[in-house]
Amino acid sequence: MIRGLLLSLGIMLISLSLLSITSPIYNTVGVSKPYCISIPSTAKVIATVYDNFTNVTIYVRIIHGNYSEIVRPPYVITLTNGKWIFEIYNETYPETFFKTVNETIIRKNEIIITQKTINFTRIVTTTNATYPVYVKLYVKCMRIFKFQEIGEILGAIMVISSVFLYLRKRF
Amino acid sequence: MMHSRNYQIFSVIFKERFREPTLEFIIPLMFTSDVFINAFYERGNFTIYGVILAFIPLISVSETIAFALALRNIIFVTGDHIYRGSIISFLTLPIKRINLFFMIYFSDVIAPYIMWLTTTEAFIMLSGIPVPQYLILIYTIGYFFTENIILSIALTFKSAGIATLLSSFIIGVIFIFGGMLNYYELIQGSHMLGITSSLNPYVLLLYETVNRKSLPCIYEGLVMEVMIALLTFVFSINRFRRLEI
Repeated sequence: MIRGLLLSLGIMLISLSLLSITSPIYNTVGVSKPYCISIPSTAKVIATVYDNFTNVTIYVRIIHGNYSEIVRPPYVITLTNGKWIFEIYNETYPETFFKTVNETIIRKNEIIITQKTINFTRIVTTTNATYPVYVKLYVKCMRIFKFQEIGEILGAIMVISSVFLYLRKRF
Repeated sequence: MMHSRNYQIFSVIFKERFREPTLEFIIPLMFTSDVFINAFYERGNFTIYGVILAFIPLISVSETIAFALALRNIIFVTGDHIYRGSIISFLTLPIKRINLFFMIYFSDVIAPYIMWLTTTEAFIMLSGIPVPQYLILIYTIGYFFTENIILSIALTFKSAGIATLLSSFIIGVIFIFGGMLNYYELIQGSHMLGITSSLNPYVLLLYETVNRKSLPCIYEGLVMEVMIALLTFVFSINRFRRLEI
């Protein structure tokens, strides 16, 4: 019983440490509050930061440990092992205001007062996240074992010892 | 090499349940099916939510295998012996009945659990996924809860067909309708959650991770499950001691 068990466990450990999940996975996350993701060392992740608005300029801050960068979407970054935070640094967008103005027109003897609505635009820069940005995560592949070498070595030892036990029984 | 008499009896009982290719198939299958922990973890954006999904029984293959193996051992080996009367050959062995019961219980219920525990913990260690250990504890309690219910049913009704149908019906009703009950309790304000959480704690776990709240009533449910498991265990010991063939 122990021989067969060792052989099957060894083959399983070797094959699992050689394999990885390679079917691509896409996830899109809307970021208005700071979005935090922790990437394991077994995964290869590519993040694309983008926005959908033409007249809004958004700057996004990406924090990873001591590294911090302020980028303007669209932006592509490869996420390595560790904790990543995406947050909106500032947004600049034109805003339209309406103002009602009284206009006095004096014509001969009569005074005419008309009300007029003027709209004018102003460039607003805030740190509040009014418009969200999107982070598209693309998980390229994920290894099954973090400690691949340990799996391979253990599997090899198990296979070899089962073969040895078979031979010892045989001869 | 001479072994003690108890060991020889135990090895007869154990080998009857796990014949030659069973362990060689079951243990690697349990280990490889834990790949779904990785897959769900990846799919859930590397959050705890995916890990909890991967640990729900019926979604997790290894938990289902452990459960099904113990069900088969109880109903189709021990229950079949009792139904056909061939348990007499074990009862006439020079060993106390209560010791015989513990040997049968160990090889029926605890051995598949140990296989599941070792393979899952080894997989978690090798893959480096931060699995919260309370998931293991919750499955452990649920496993002994269901298996003890099945054992007491099998010892009461004896016939394999009735025991299979009745136990799968009861366990299914508890798990599925308990989950639905928890769901409606969560939606409509919780009054009875302490009682219903013993039926299916996984709904509450998912709710906790999605809404970032903590529900202390999960622990009440777990304590209730442990109580029911102990009660059914004592009940089945008594049934086995007063067994008449």
